[in-house]
Amino acid sequence: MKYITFIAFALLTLFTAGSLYAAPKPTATPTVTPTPTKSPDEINKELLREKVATQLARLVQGTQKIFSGTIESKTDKELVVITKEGTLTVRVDENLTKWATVTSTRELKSADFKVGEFVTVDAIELDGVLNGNAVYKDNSYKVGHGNVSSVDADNNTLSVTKAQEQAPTELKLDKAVRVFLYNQKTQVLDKSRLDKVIAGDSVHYVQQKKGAEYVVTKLIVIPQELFISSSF
Amino acid sequence: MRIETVIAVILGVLVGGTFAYYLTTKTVASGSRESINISTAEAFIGKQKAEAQEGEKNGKFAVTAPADNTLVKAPQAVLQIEAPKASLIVIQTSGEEKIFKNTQSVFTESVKLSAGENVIEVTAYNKELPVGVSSQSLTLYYLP
Repeated sequence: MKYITFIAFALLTLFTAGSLYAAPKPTATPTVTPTPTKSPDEINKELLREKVATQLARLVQGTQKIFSGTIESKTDKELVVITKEGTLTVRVDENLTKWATVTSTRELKSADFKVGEFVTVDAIELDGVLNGNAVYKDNSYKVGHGNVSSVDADNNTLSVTKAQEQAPTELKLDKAVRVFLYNQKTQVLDKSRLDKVIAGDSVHYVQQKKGAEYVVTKLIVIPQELFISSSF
Repeated sequence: MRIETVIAVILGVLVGGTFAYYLTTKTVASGSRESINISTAEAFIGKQKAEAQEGEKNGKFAVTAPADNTLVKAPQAVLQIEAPKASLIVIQTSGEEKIFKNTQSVFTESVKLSAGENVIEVTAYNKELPVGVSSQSLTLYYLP
């Protein structure tokens, strides 16, 4: 009986010791050190850090949404952008939202962005609310094609009839518009001039927003003879 | 050392070790990740190929990839285009233009992207297409 009691006691002791050894080790309790008095700057930084951490933890559950458009209105907390999908409202924050230009790494401020400017927005959509990660100043371009109805080199305009449209659209040409003519023999684009473009040609154009209007900055011309002489 | 002590130590080590092994294996199993469903991806690719073959018969034109409004991680994108063979293909972006005849009905073409919004228009001219011409626009975003 004495032996059994001894063995049982020894077993219990070693079992407990073995379990404690195998169990995950609790992290060491940090030593409590007296906290020095914090400056207002440090407190603000700490608050901001906490705010960022909370926001990140929340946004990680959302889905990324990128879009471009023109700023319709803006406040300290909201940016309303007219996009091709409609009007979108983005929640912004002076500290949490990055404000910049797409072509530069230099950061801007919210105040540098004005109503009417074209922007690309990187946002996170969460519970139907768009939270702005970054707002970039961007250039607005349009591309299109159609058949030339008329050319007015003096007034720098080009009338184009687009597919499935009856009436021609008048396009304003940039003074420095670059014109390229498709060469049927070499099958490459040759530099050309506006006076080489004639009614009936097919054109592909790039329009850039300059000020309040879009102007054609680049023009590719496919001569109409190509469609007569080939399988196109 | 007495025999009882030795037995007690051995038994204790065995029981403790077994319990430790149980704890370790349980933790690993609960942290394992789920496997990826490959059959779904294969079915999707098969469907795309079937659609591409169908397009060849009907003089179909489409830019099948990338999807509209995609954020691209590099300053270039590879477009996957379906068009009747020997069409005149025009790819126009704000920064680049390409014009060529395609030798395959399903082909890829790389285009350079500018930072920000990139509006790309792809046009195919061919008599097999409705009204002899088809085009499609898509918007890609590149944020360096």
